[in-house]
Parts: sequence; C-alpha cells; structure tokens
Amino acid sequence: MADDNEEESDEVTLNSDKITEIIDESMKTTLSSVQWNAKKVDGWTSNIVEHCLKRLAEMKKPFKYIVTAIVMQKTGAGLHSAFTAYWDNSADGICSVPYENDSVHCITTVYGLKLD
Amino acid sequence: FFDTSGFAMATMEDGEGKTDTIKIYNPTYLMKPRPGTKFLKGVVEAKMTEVLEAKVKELKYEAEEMANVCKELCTDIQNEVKKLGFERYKLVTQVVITEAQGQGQRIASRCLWDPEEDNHAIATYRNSELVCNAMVFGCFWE
Repeated sequence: MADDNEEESDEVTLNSDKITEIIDESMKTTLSSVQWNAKKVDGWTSNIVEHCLKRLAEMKKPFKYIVTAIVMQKTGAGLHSAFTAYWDNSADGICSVPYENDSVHCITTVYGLKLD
Repeated sequence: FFDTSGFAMATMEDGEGKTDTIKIYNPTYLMKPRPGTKFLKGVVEAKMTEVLEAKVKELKYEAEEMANVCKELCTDIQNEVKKLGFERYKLVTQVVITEAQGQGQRIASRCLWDPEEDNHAIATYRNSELVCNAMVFGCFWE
C-alpha cells in the first residue's frame, strides 16, 4: 500500500512574531551604532530590505511580500506614515517595526499578500 | 474579487428557520490579468501626483493634524486608483509625510512577487514645509 504524503492544508497564515523578529534583527545588524551618513544611507536601506526579503523567502510560505524601509536623520523633524490596503483581511497582513538609535530613525514595514 | 459572471445560489437555514440566500462565486482560474486591465505604472503615477498636488499644495506642517491628513491621503489615493479599473488587483497604498527641516531621509522597498503582472507606482510632492511620498503596490490575485 502506498502512503500518500498529505500536503499542508490551505490554512497557512503569516506568523507575525517571526516576522517582527526578522525585521528587528535586520535593522539591528545594519543600524546599531551608526551615525547618519548621507553617502552610506543608500547602502543601509538596501541592506535592510534585502536582508528581510531573503529571510522571508526562506520561510517558503505561499505569500507575496512587499518590504519598505524608511531611514531618517534625527533632527527633531516630524515623520508620519500611513497605509491603506484593498485586500483580503482574513488572509493578508502587515507588520511594521520602528527602530532608533541616537542619530537615525528607521521604520520597516512588511506587507504579506496570500497566494491561492 | 471573483468574476461575477458565474455564480451559484445556495440557501442556508439559521436556528429560527429563516433562510438566507448566499451567493457562491465560481473561481475564474485566470492566471494573468485580462488584456487592458494590467496595472499601468504611468497611469497610476499621474493620478497619484494629481491627488497629492490637490491636497498637499497649501498645507502647513502641524503635528496633530498630519496624522489625519496622512490617513485621508491614503484613502483618497486608494479610491482614485480603484476607479482606474484594474480588476483582480490587490492594492497597498503607503503615504509618508515628513516635515522639511533639511534632514536627510531615504525610503527603499523591495518586493517578492511576479514581475510580469505586479507593479508599483510612486509619487512625491514637496512644498516649503513638508515632503510627501506616496507608494502604491498592485499585486495580481488569481
């Protein structure tokens, strides 16, 4: 008798704890103890998003991901960020994590859209 | 999201014997967007710039107000993009407003998606007091 290997059921959801952890780690590795440097900031933002995306892809879940990072110099200026989405509330989700050190602010957001 | 041209009707009873009719939509099994309904970056960007200009042109930066303005901008942009008629696209809109104080700022994004159907559009508007960035990501949903 052949045993059928059952595939995982369709009830796959985003594990927001795991994703927060991934984002946190990626921001800390790139930005801890750096001082604002306009020439390096391109590299920092690319690093953060690529690191996040790589770890997300490794989770091998049936999701499309959008990762956005905002890095801003601390000068006392205000920053507001908002989002809206036209999606399926039960399947899709967002995870947003702020980070700061003494010279930069950083907000990284991950949107996950479920694939059928 | 389902194509409404094919659906079946079913009835269900709740505890008190009343019946409710629910529509069950048939999936369309579409792998790609229908011709003419693909997310067009240029069109969306033009629309976004229009919305931003109309709303942000004369705005002054006020910390309490900005949170609301940000959310309203998000909803406005999203509604306008929905009207452009990209069927079967999930939309994510993000708006960032910063006070213009001469500080440096960098926004970056990367996506893991299907590059043939999915796309994004960005628009920036600045006046003397603030800088406003808007991003719309459109992902095709089968």
